[in-house]
Amino acid sequence: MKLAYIDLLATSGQGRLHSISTTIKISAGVVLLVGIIISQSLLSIGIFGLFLLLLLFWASLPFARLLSMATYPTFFSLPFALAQLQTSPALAVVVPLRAASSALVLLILISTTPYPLLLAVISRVLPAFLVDAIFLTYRMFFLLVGTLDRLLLSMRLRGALSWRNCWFSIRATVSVLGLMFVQTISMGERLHQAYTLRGYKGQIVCAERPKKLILRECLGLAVLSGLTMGVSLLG
Amino acid sequence: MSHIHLPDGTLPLFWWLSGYAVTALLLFLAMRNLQGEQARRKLPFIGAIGALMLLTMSVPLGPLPLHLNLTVLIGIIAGPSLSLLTIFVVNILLALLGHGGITTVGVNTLILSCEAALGWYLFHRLFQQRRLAWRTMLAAALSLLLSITLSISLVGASTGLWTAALPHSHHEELEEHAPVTQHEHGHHDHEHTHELAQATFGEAVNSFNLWGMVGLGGLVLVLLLGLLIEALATWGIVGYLSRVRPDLLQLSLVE
Repeated sequence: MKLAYIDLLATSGQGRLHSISTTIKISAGVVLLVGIIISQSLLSIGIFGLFLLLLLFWASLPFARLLSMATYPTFFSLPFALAQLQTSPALAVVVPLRAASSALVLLILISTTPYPLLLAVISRVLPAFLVDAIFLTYRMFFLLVGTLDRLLLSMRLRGALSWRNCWFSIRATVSVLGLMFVQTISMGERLHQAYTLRGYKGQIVCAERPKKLILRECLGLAVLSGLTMGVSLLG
Repeated sequence: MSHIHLPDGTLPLFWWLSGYAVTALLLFLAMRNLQGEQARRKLPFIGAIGALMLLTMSVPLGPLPLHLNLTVLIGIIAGPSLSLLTIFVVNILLALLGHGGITTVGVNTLILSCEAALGWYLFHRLFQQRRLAWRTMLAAALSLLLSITLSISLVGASTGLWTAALPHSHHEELEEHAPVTQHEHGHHDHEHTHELAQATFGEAVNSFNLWGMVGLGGLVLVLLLGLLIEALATWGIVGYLSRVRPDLLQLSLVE
C-alpha cells in the first residue's frame, strides 16, 4: 500500500487523465467496475484487462508499480477461484482477473485525481461527518508517516530491528506501536483544538472548482458505457 | 491480519448489497448518537485512530500479505459505535487503493466491526474481573476467532463450498436404488448394488470440491497465523498503554 506515492502521482502528475473532470472520471470508473463485475467469460475480462493496460500507457502512469499493486487482491480471491476450479476452470481464472482489474480501475482513478477533488464528489452522496472523517484520516496518515519514520530511525540507532537482537526488537516494536497510539490520540486532541479555533462548524469544505462539462468528455463516457456493456455481455 | 480484504467480483450481488444495507443502517444509528459539539470532538479522534489503522496495515509482515490491523485495540479504546465509523472510513480508503473491493466495503466493515465490538465487550464487560494480560489476550483471541469464522463462513457460503463438501444427495440416491434392486433380482443384483455403491462413491469423491477445500484450508492457516501475531501485538500495546496512559483504556467507559 503506497498511499504517499499514489498521492504524489495524483497531485503532481501531468498525464492525459489528470485534466479530465472528476465527475466524468468517477462515472467512467463506475461504468468499468460494473462491466468487470458482471463479466463471466475469459474473453470479456481479457478485453477489459487489455483496455486498462492501454489506459495506463495512455495516461503516462507508472506501469509496473500500479500493476503490482493491482495484483494484491488476487491473493484474497484465490479461495474463491479454487472453489470454482472443479466446476468451471474458466471462471476460476476469471475471478482473480476480475479482482485485479477492479483494483486497477480504482488505482487509475485515484492516481489521476487528488483526494480533495474526489471527496468533493463523494460528499454529494455520503454524510458530511463521514466525508470529514475520511479527509482527516487521510491527512493524519501523512503526519503519522513522519512520526513513524523518526521512531524507526531511533530504534535502529539503539540496535533494534535486527535478527541478532530478536527479543529486544519485538519488545521495542510493540513499545513503538504503543507510543504511536499515544501520540496519535494527542495529535487528534490538538487537531480538535486547532479546528475549533479556526471556526470549524461540522463540515470541511472541499468543493471542486466548478468545471464546464466538455462535450468531448461526455461523448467519450457515452461511448465507453456502450462498449463496456457490449464487452461484458460477450460470452 | 485476521480477516480477508474481500476483493470486487468475488461475492454475488445479493451478498454485497446486503452488506452495504446493514452497514448503512448501523452507520446511521452510530451517527445519530453523535450530534453537535460531541461529533466535532470525536471527529479528530476517528481520523487519528483511522490513520493509525491505515499505517499499521501498510507495513507487511513477511512475504505473505499479512499485516497488523489493531481492530480489537481500536474496539477496546473507542467503543463499538466509534470503531464502526472508523472501520468504514478505513475500508473506503483501502478500497480506493485496491486493497479490498469497493463493492465489498459493507461486508468488510461488518466483519471488522463485529471483531471490534466483541473485543470491547469482552475487555470491558465479560472479563472485567480478570488480570489485564489475560483480559487482553482472551478479548483479542476470541474476537479475532469470531472474525476469522465470519470470513471463512462467508467464503464457504458464497461459493457453495459447504454444500459441495457434503455429498448427501448421492447417499439418498443410493438408498433409493438399493432396496428395489435387492428385492427384485436377488444375489446377482446385490453385486450390481455394490458396483452402484462404488460408482456413486466415486461420483461423490469427484463432486467433492477438493481444490475449494484446499484453498479454504490454506486461508484458515494464514488467518490463524495472523490471529497469533495480532493477539500478541494487542497484548503488548495494551500493556504499554496501561503503564503510560491508563486513562485511554477506560475511554469508552467514560463515554
